[in-house]
This record gives sequence, structure tokens and C-alpha cells, in this order.
Amino acid sequence: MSRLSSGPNWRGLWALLRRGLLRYLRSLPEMAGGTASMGLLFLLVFSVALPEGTAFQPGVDALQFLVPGLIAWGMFSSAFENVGFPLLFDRMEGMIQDVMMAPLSPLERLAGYVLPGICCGLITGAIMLALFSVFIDIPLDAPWRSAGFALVGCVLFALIGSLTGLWAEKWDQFALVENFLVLPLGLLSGTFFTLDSLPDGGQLAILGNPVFHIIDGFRSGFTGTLESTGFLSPLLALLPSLFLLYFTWRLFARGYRVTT
Amino acid sequence: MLGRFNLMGLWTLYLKEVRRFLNVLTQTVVAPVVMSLLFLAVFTLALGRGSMSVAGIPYPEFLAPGLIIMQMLQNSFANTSSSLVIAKVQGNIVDVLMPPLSPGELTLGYVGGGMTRGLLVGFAAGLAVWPFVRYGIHDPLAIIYYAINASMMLSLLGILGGVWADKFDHIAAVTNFVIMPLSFLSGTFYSVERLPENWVFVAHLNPFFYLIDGFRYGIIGHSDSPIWMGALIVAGVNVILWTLTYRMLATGYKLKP
Repeated sequence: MSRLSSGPNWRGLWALLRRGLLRYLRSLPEMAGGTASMGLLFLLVFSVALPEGTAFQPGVDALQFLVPGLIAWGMFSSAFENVGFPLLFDRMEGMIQDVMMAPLSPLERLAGYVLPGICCGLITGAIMLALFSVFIDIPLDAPWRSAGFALVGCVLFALIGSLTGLWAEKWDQFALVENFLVLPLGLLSGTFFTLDSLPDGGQLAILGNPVFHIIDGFRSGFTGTLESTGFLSPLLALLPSLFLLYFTWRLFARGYRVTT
Repeated sequence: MLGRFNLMGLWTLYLKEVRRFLNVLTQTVVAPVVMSLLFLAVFTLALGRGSMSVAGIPYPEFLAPGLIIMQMLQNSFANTSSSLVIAKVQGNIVDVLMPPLSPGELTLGYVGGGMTRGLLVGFAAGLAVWPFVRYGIHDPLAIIYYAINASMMLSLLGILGGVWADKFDHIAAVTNFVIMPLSFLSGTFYSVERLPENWVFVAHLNPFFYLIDGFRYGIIGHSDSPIWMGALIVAGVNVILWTLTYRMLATGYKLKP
């Protein structure tokens, strides 16, 4: 295919997307199985430990509140892993050169790594949703709102993954970001608790956390109740992704840590 | 040298095992500690609504010992199992099998490494949790007894799993579907009295329950089952596991052609 014509290299993009998805599908039982069983464990623990009839939001059963949080956590960590892991692997094994040599623009290269990760996150989320709905009656107030916020969250975490995969020089550093940034962000962003269970200072801090607004929006698609209704919320949910997209795109364009 | 106890060989194997995890300290010690803090935050925020208490004890105080020993269990298992599986996959297991080390010395060396990591993580997690939950010490002897038995049991299980597994997927499956559920559901987060009636009985068949229960007793002085019974059961399980591991290494199961 000639690259003389301007316009996106659809075929190249498709090849990269397919490669990423095949990589994921090959280890699907361990990857999704691990995430889903972890989610089920949390659910079991909550259902045993919570006193009968606990409601987090008015009219919303505790488990109905927690399930969207668990799904969000599983989705986002899957999106992060499935971009960061392959990217770092390709760099360490030298395979990244195959992608650098291909007639792809920097933005297409970035998309070639980030898109499969977003898909992996969404697939993981769908698997978890299907699994949980067997055990719990999950309300569905506005499915499209949930889907939209799921996409926004997966994009954000996929981009964080690409940045980590690009920056890290070895697995140790990758694990550092995963353990000390991604895991706390996934667990502490209102995933399992409401705003009013936090002290005042904590409420203010969490309102500045974009992931909180993403999870809040995602959950409201199920339960119909938003924790934070400020007009800034959607903006806070979207802005970091846009910023990271621009930033990693520029890094790819400069060949940061991939070309010598 | 042969026929006598190979102290130097044992010490060398032990040092190798300890240095292996100290080399990636952030992943093997710091990350588990952060994990226990995260769990503390998540579960007290999600469950601590309306100042929930378990058996008259404030929930955070009930939770803290469970979180500490959960990390000890998981990390003792991770240390021996990952060491063996990596050595098997990479082929350098021969470097451990060739030297004049008896099956007993091999078991001791690996278990020593796993226990060191488990106890270190437990100690560090105990320190890290303390500023947030001011727990006391009810019975230091019980704490030490159960900490040692817990890390020993899981190190032995890690050897069994590591020898059995042929690739990383196998050991990941054991971790995800056996060790994690057992360490999650055996009373870390709740008193087993909360379980439906039939499950209370099942819980009492699970050695992990006695480890967590006994360790918690040492810290807060409350236990779901008689403490002497737990002590006996835990010791018995460890004797069985030692014998099993010894036989496994002595026969060369999946290790020697």
C-alpha cells in the first residue's frame, strides 16, 4: 500500500489493533479470570460483612452500589495493563522497531497500542458485568451514560499505560507505577464508598480527582444517582485524557525512549 | 561433608532466597504494605459506616490484624512458589539440585526464605497500619506462634505448588483460585459467625481460618474458636505439609527425570 496518499493508514492500524487483541485473547483465561475472580471475592466479602439492609445511596442496595465500582476497577486496570505491558515488552525485546519502521504516523502508532488496550478494558468490563448479574440484580438506569463513562475511563487508563510503558526501563519500574499509582487510583476514587462517608478534607480532595468523576458517572448510569452534580464534573472527567493524549502523542512523535 | 548436615549449603540456599526478594524490595515488601493500607482504607470506608463493630470491637481494630496476616500468607506463598517456577522455567533449578543438599536441607532453605519474607512483610505492615489503627498487643506469644506457623504453612504450600506447576499460568491459577480466595474468605474481613450456619462448619475445616483467628487473638484478644484448638490444628497441618514436601523433594517428583 502506497503511503504517498495522505490520510490515515487504516490497514496498518488494523494490523496493530488485531495484534493487540490477539495478544490479549491468548491469555484471556488468566487475565480476565484473575480480575473477575478478584471482583467476586470482594463482592463475597462485602456481602458477608455488611449488615443487612445497608444502603449507600437512597434506594440503592449496598451491593448494587458496589458492583459498578468493582467493574470500573477491573476495566481500568485491564486497560492500563494491556497497553503498558505490551509496549514495555516490545521495547525491551526490540520489537518496537518493527512498529517504528512501518509507514505509520506517530498518532497511528500511539493508537495502535492504545486502542487494543481500550478494547481489552471494555471486554473485561462486559465479562464482569455478565458474571455479576448472575448473582445480583443490577439496575440499569441509563446504559449509554455508563458506556460513555466506561469508554472515557478506559481511554484515560490506557493512556497512563502507554506513558508508563514508554517511560519504564524495566519491569520493576512498571510495577512501581502499577502498585503506587494505578492501584490506589482504582481503589480509592469512590470505588467502594460514597462522598458523605469521607471527612470534609477528604471530600474536597476526592472532588479534584478525575477518576472519581469517571466512576461516579459510570455508576450513575446503573443506579441513577450522581454523587457529585457539579457542572465541572464532566470536564474533570474528560480533560486529563485529552491532555495525556496530546502529551503521549508528542512523545511518540519525538521518538522518546524508542529511537536512539 | 556427605552424611553430615550441610550447614554451609543450607545457609547459601537461604541467602539466595532472601537476596532474591530483597533485590526487588519495592515489589516484594513495600507493595504488600501499601496494599494492606489500601485495603484498610477501602474496607473501613465501605463497611465502617455507622461505626460498625464486630463482637464489640470497633471494625478497624478487628480488620487490622486480618490484613497484616493476609499479606504474610500471600507473600510467603509467592516467595517459594515463584522462586521454584522461575528456576524450573529458566532451567537453573539444576544449580539447586546438583549441590550436595539433602531433601530436608532443600526444604529448610526454601521455607526459610519464604518465612523471612512473610515475617518481614507482616512486621512492616504492622508498623504501617499502626498510625491509623492503634491496636494493642494482647498476647505476644500467640502473635509469634501464629506468625511463624502461618508463614511456614504458606511457604510449604508454595513449594508444593511450585514443584507441581509446569509454567507460570499454572501457579497463577493456584494463586488466583486457591490462595487468594482462602486468604480472603477465612475471616480476614469478618467474623465467621456472620456466615450462614452451614458455612460456619465449613469455615472450621479450613486451616487458614485458625491462622487468622489465632493471630487476631494475639493482637485484640478476641477469637472465634478456642485458641488451643487452633494452635494444635495449625501445628498438625504443618507437620503433614513438611512430610509431604520432604517426600516430594526426596522422590524428585517433577524435578528429576
